[in-house]
Amino acid sequence: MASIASRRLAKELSEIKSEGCPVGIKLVKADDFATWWFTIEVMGESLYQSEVYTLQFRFDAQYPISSPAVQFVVKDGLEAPIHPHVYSNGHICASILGNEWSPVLSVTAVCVTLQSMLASCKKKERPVDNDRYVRNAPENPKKTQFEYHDDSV
Amino acid sequence: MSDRPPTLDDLRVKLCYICRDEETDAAAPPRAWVHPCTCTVSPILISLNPAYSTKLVAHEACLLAWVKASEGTGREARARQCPQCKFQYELESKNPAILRFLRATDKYLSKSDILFYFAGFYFIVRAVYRGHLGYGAWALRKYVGDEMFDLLLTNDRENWPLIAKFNMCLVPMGLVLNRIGLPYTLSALLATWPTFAFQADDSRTDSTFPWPPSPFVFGFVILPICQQVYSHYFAKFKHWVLDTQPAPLRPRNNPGIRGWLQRFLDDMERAADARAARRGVNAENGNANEEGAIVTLDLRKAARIVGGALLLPLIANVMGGFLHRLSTHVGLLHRFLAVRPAWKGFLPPPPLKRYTAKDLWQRAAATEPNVGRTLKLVLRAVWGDIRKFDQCDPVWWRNSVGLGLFAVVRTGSPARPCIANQRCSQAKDLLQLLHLWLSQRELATRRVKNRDFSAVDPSELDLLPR
Repeated sequence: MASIASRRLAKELSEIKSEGCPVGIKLVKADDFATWWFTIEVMGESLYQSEVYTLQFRFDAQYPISSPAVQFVVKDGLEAPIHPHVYSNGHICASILGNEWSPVLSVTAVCVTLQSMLASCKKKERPVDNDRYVRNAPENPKKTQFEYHDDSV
Repeated sequence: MSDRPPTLDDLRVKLCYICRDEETDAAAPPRAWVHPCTCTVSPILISLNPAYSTKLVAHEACLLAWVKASEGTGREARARQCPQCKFQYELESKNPAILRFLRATDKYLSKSDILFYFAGFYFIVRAVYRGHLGYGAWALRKYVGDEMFDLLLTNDRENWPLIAKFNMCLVPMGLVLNRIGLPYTLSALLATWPTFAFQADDSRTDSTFPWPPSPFVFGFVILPICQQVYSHYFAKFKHWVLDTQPAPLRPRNNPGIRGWLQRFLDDMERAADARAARRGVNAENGNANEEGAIVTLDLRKAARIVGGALLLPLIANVMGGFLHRLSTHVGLLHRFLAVRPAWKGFLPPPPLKRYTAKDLWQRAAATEPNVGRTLKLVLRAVWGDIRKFDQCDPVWWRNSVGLGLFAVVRTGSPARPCIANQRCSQAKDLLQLLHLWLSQRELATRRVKNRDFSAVDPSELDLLPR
């Protein structure tokens, strides 16, 4: 019997393939149940109009009890969006990826949430502590203890 | 259909919101399902997949795993409620009071580490305090004798005044400091002994000269004078015996505390120079072990100093006992030591009440202001016209005298042989001086013994004509 994580991921993947992704989100690759890539584009009027970013999901064996590690891909010419909650190494400071993760969420739900996070942005800027954080950041964003200070942006 | 509200069992499709497994008839092992809240599933999910438009249900095992995984993390509270309607899950378990107590204890103990440090520190301090107090009491009993000890303090530790306990705790330190060259610490300790001071009894009418003097006078007047006189004349005597020249006196232009400080700094500088010179010699010799040897030697020296200092009360006691026995044969000594018969009562003498400063003032000012009378009272109190000393055998006095004699004829020998010049400056007591003098005389009188030629044939020798 396959593990709970892989069965749930298989189910999410089959739903994505049968129902399609929400608007502006495309599955790039999901070769295994460890790492998936999506492209994300903000639709409609926003600061990020016609910009496409790549999201990476990493799952561990405890998914969905434990949250996926989600970040923007910043290699091979890809960049993270300039946003007060997105560091230049692609790490995202979003409460649903940490404290507020719940198993009721899914991969597509996370994508939609991040899409709306970008859409509601008022000013393109990096987080104030970007340089300091990027210098010392762990490879896996889940190992960072983010403080979710600003829910409005 | 009955009127009862539909339950979990009435759902056509059950889908666990955690593992997303649906209950199908084919699923072999049936698993327990729960519907712990009141809500429907999130609109986002419904828009993604209409299958979610059911009540939010889950496998009990999945939900418990989720709750357990969040325990102790920042999302513990969030995990115990429905992610959508925020309805608090109600968990039932065997959670007796004892388990809740243990958990709470565990939680608070981790926060109260600091209390344990304080407790440990407290116990260490208490142990040190008890040790010092016990030693101080022993030393005092040896020094002043049982009779006066009982009179001063009684055997009951609880009744000792706080200040007496404080003084007693300082005894070991005072002894050690005394040994390493701060002679006034012990005098101060003895003189400021709380229950010694100011118990003047002005009801005394006979005008016999009180003897021995009070510890206050002894510690601050007699003892320093004796020490100065002794060291002065001993130095002269030493140079006379060993036939050496006294070292040129360092100018002591600055009397008082500044002069003392200057001398102290000079000594430190000189010691540092000596150390540096020794290090230089070691470096030249390439002797790497020398440093370690110095350390061990210093440790042994320190142990000897501390041990010797702490033995002082016992030595004083033994010497005092010796003097006491001797005084039964020598009348003058008997009177000098002021030996009195011990307390004859069945019960120990009652502890004396101390006069407070107020009492003293009242006594002094009882009659019309009389400067002469007040001065006389104070002087008599300072000198030792103190009731309790008249009442009991002044063991402390003969012990002090005995200790002084012991210091003069000390049985201390230098740790290692050094050249005569250095030893000369080290000699501090008669025994050492005798040792030095004999060594010097041995060197001076050393001759090579002559032998005759009895074993040789006289014909082989070219002899002078007889």
